[in-house]
Amino acid sequence: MKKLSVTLIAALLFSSLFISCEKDDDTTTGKFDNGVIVLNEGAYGNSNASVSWVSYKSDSVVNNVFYSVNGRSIGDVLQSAIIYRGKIYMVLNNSHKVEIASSSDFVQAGTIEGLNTPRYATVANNSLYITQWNSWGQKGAVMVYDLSSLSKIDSIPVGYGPEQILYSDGKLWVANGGGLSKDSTISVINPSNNEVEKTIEVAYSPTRFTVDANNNIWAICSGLTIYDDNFSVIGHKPSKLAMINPDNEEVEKTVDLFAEKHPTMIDINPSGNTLYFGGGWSFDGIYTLNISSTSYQGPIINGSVYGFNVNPKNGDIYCLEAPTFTAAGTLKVYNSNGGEAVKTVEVGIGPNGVLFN
Amino acid sequence: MKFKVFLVIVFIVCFRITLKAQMSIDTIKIDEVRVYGSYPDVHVVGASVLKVDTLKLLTFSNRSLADLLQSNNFNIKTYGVGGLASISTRGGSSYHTAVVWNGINIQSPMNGNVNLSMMPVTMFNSIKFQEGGSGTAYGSGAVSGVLLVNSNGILNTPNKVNVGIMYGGGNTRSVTSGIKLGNRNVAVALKLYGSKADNDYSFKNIFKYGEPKENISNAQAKQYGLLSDVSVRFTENTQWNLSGWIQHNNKNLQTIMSSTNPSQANQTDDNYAASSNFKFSFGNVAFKLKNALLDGKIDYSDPTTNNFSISEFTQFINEIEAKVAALKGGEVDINLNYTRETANADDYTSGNALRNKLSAYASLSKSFFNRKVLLSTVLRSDMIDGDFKPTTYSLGTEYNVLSFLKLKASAARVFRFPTLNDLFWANTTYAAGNPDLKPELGWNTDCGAVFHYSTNLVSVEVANTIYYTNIKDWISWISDPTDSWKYKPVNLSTGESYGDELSSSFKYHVGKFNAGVGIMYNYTHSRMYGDDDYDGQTMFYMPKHRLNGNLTLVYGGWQALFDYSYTGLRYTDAQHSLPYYNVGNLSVGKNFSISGVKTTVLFTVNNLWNESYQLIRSYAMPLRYYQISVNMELSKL
Repeated sequence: MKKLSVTLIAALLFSSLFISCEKDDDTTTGKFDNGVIVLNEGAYGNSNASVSWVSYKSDSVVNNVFYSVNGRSIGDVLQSAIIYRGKIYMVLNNSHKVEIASSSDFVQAGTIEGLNTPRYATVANNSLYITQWNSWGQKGAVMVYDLSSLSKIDSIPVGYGPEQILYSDGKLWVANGGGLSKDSTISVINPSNNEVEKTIEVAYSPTRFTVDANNNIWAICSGLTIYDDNFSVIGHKPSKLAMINPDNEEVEKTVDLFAEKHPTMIDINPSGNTLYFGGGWSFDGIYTLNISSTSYQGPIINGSVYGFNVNPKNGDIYCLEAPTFTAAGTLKVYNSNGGEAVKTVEVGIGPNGVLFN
Repeated sequence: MKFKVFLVIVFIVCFRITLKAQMSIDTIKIDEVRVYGSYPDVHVVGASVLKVDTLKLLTFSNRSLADLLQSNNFNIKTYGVGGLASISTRGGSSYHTAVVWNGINIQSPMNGNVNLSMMPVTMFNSIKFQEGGSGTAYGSGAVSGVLLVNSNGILNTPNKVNVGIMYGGGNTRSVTSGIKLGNRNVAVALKLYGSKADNDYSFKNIFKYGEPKENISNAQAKQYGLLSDVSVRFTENTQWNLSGWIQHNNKNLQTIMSSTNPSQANQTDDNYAASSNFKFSFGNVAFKLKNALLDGKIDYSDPTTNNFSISEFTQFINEIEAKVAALKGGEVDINLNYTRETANADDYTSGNALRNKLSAYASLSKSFFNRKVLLSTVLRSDMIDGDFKPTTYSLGTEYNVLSFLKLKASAARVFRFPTLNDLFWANTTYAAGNPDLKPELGWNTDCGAVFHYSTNLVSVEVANTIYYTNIKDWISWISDPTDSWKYKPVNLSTGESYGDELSSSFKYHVGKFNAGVGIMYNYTHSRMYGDDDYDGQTMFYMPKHRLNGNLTLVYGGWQALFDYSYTGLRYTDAQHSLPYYNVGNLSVGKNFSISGVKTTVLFTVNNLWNESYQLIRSYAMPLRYYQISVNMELSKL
């Protein structure tokens, strides 16, 4: 029996060796001002979304920021985020929630649960507006939460697959991208009564907005790829840009883009007169358009850019590449003319955008 | 005597319950069940031997192969409680381990997997695990190891009837039942099982603020199966075995921890298998004719995403084998196999796939120096749809140095053909198959030693094996940035792994008292290499360290088993990992006899210290839960 005991104790001691060797993995700390917050989707279904921080001044990078600070993973598919009054609101698409943390140190500050495939968020009148697709076959909705109590206030029905929601000119603009169905409308919501006051018809699959120097709203409409029952491509609906006058809520200009290619991202330079568009799933390159023109230029940046954002202070273009969804993605920074990257750093898995903190 | 009648009635009643209410029934007694790496035939010679304590087998008799193997230091990936469970060894993926039933490889031709959570331990008369590459004998997929299970071979087993019931955590109820009747020339065996579980175990949600304790949702499962075997000995040299296996599994796919909305996904599996083995001999030549038909259907549904898909495969396997004694104590074995694989899936190009496989191998085994040294070599050739594939071969040897010490070594050229999913997946927005894939091809080598010493009081066994595996043209599904980031299978890189497998056992016996200690440790160094982002990457879900220890105590009719396992950190992608975990289980049981009916009552506490752990990222595993089972066997029929 003595031999027995000795053997068992040895086994337990043996195991403790591994415990001490491997327990402290994945830990990093840091403050996260003065840099960009990179949103890494992760791979759908793998619950490995993450946040990276990249310094403006150096190549310093901190990956897995939320995990490092809070000791837990953030969730599945970090679709988007906004920063408002010192807090970051992160929309986790396949976790059906919004995680809230301090945008400075990323200490967790709350969770909104019970959403149904949320996509984007914005703030108006001290309320958080979140677009969500809802279940298959259903139209989407904008869910409204009180920013202070995080309690649900309202639910506003909109079109299929609502994507970005923009608060501009005192109104909320919702791009009904179609989601798992198809749509070609933009819903205009009055935040004072949370009702849709107008639905604007545009091209197929509006996804993102930006606002130009004249306060006009630009929506990028990705168009559609059409399949038959055997998943063979049988046609396309073209991609377009739509310029909306916020005063009369009418489309005042449409720019034809590509007949069979489908860009999904749009942003604008700091002076508000040059649009950048391109990127997204299955689209190569970033193009430009002067807001007074009807013909685009480019591409000024080549390659598969999954997402991009323009620094509103200096016009630098922050491009995210997601070569695979199991290995690290890349952030490449270009000056406003594109060309070659001036900075390249490795970030999390499946990066789709940045916030300028 | 009344109790015997009662037991037979219970069997019959349980049988009806199984058919009507999908409750279960099956035998709980396994005549000889061992989990080890050795050479099930003359095909491969050389590797370590690992035996499972008998009490552990009893403890897991009402549970799945996945549970049993996990408790024996195998690396099991499980998508939650009762979810898809697969085994992977020596740095390989799940599709690198073949699962062979009655000599038939039952890996799905569509994805290379076998769900071990749908295979109850009590279904089989024999369970073995052979580490290392055995593709030369078992064909494509036997790259890292082979799990061999048999339900036939019943002519020499005693007649019996048995019934077992189990109730446990997650409102799990199962009934198992079996009957075997016959003599040395004709025998029939029937095994039935079924289970129903809510699987609403409590767990700690580590994805949520404050790590609240919650219950697993949408994980309900219903499972039933029937396995029958008939064996006939026509003459001393002529024998026929016929086996049939029907299995149904209806499983809700559990809500992952990171989701705040309950899952609504469901998967129903229906599998049918029949195999015939006819053995006869002329003079010094023994023949074996083997035919099998396998059919598997998966019906997946998720209304939240409108994802509904049905896939089905059929395999028709035909094999003839001849063995002849040669070279004074040696043996030559020649085998020819034709397999036809068909599959239908919503996601396949034109909806279906067809593959014809023809293979042949020849082996030579020979002993030397009064059987102190054994050598075996195999040469194999494969043809798929008319195209010859690379020739593979293996060599193994054993050397009995002393009565208590044996040395072993083997080397095998291993291979794996692309699955039908790899080849025939339709070109869609997000994914596309790749008909130009090459087969994976590599080496698996190992060597080891076994020390065994026993007296009337004690028995000691220590076995150690070191191995090296190198697989080129490893097939991986990755996103292709040059083609709209579609997921495609490509011959991406080289997989390399090496490691050490150590097992030891110490047993002590005096009078009515038996005690035993077993320790198993695996070290696995596994990496991917290639001209891409995966270069130098540790293989996903492959822990570097695994340790298992168990302590058994038996006194009179009482028995106790404490089982401990440690699994080290596992990478789930290039940047994230799951931390190590320790799990301990304790079982206490009492064996007694009522009117000649052997009865075992067993009480088990699983996850003694409430460890929060994951086998697949975000899939919760249960905190502490309990099980009680009663198994009865009547063998004097």
